[in-house]
Amino acid sequence: MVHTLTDAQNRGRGHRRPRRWWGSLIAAIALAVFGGAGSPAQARLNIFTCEPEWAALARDLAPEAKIFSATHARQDPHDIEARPALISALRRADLAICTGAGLEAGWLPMLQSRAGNARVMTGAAGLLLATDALPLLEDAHHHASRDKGHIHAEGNPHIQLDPRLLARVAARIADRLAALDPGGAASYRSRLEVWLADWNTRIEHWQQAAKPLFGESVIAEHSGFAYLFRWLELYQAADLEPVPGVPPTVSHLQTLLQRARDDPPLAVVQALYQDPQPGRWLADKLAVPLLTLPSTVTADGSTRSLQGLFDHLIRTLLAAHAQRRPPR
Amino acid sequence: MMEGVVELGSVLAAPFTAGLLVLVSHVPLGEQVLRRGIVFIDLAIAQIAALGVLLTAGWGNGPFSGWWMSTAAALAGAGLVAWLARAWPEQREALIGLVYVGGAAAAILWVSADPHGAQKLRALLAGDILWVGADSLWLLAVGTALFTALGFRHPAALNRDIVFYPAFAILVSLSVPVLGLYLVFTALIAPALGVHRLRQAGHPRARSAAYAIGVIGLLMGLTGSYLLDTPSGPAIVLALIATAAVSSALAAVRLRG
Repeated sequence: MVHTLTDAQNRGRGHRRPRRWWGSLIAAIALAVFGGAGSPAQARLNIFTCEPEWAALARDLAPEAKIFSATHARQDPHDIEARPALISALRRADLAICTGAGLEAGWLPMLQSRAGNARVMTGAAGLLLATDALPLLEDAHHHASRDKGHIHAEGNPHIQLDPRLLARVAARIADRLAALDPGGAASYRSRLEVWLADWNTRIEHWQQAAKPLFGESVIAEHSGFAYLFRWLELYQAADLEPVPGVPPTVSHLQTLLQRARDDPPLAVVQALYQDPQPGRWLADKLAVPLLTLPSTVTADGSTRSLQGLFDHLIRTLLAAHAQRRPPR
Repeated sequence: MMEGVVELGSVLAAPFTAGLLVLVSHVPLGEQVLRRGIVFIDLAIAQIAALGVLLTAGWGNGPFSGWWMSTAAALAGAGLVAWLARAWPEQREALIGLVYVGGAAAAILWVSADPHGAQKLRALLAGDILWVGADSLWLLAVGTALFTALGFRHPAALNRDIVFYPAFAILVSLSVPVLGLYLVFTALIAPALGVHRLRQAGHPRARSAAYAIGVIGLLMGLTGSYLLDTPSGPAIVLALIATAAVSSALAAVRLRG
């Protein structure tokens, strides 16, 4: 770009026509575009996922598909910034897998309208909402009203940390893949069978390993881990957020501290994308560990697969349990 | 290759149009801002317009539901700034700075209990130019058309305070909900500043060069955000600043040589 400018400028000076170098600059930009954006898609199916957990599932069930995830573990899926790649990825998609239940209400409708892809419009076969037809937890998410800090009228959408629900979503994804790509139907079904057999063994193993955690209490920020806690029978004693979606306030943290002082929880739990300061403050005051956990699969490391994610979550909670000080 | 170009064009056409629409009015307004030496004023008035948008956010749907309220807020803000500028000309920039920070602080307080507050604040600052659809542009288009017609009929009208401040407040308050405060401020200042030397030297094409800076910055920012997969608003801001800086340097070389 620098070279182009210098050359163009020299030419422009010779002719005393200021518009010449603008023209060259535009040509240079156009060249950059032609070079960069023209990669042909070779995969059979284009899959767009709103959250990385669905991308991980899709990768297990359709390894040959081209998969694009709109968010990653360090982003808050409630609220993302518009990037051009989101629009072009959804425009190309044969199948879009999102959580639904209002989680993406702040951005998915606009993205769908800008992408203008009839295959993934609401109601079309190419849009799969993971929370459809699943029983959702009705916690604070459900009860607060919209002005009082309500994000999801439909119930708690953060289902990805209950492996039993993930198995049901996996089955629906395999069905949908088979419907959209009938030629590969048999292979999607057989991959699902293998996946489910392995997954169910793991669930049993995880449940065995997590037995010591039974009945423990935790304080968490937002209800993003509620399904994990329900599955492992932990008890979320309090939420760092005074109202779902509203960041922790000083007076709310004080109240939590007063309440939890006599019976401190196992840990204070936060997601990777949340501000660690309020949680650290409370954890320090209560002398319990602050666990910053991925609430979904990450881009790299041991938690980049769903299997590794649950291994990591349970291992971290167990470590906190083992290090817990004896009650005073 | 063709596929990539078509793809890029279809994704970026709408935000490009929105950016062009804002440039049409903001380049001449920016010249006025620089001529009057009231650079901070745009930030202050845009911030007050943004506050107006936030205050009326619950009153309806769509980006312009609260447009009359934000326009009223911006007009009041412009009136306040104009009055401050006359009453205390010496401390004008300092007072305008305080109006800006005061407006920003009030906005943060207003959304602090709102679960989507951080989102709304960020959208007003950084803007979501990519989500722009035709339905959110028509009001801005009408305002721009009126402004352009005025410019053709009475080219010197903008020199008068009574025309400049209201026109400025209305156009800025219409642009902020669409493009965000940062981009609106940059669209106003960067092209005008990039051709500052040309204009001082009395170059007849200073205005065209300012538009060229705007269009190139917009194109580069949008294309860059597409290729690098980053949010578009901030990318355009940086591209506009870079284009203005390069143009200013080129102009200096040309004028000397």
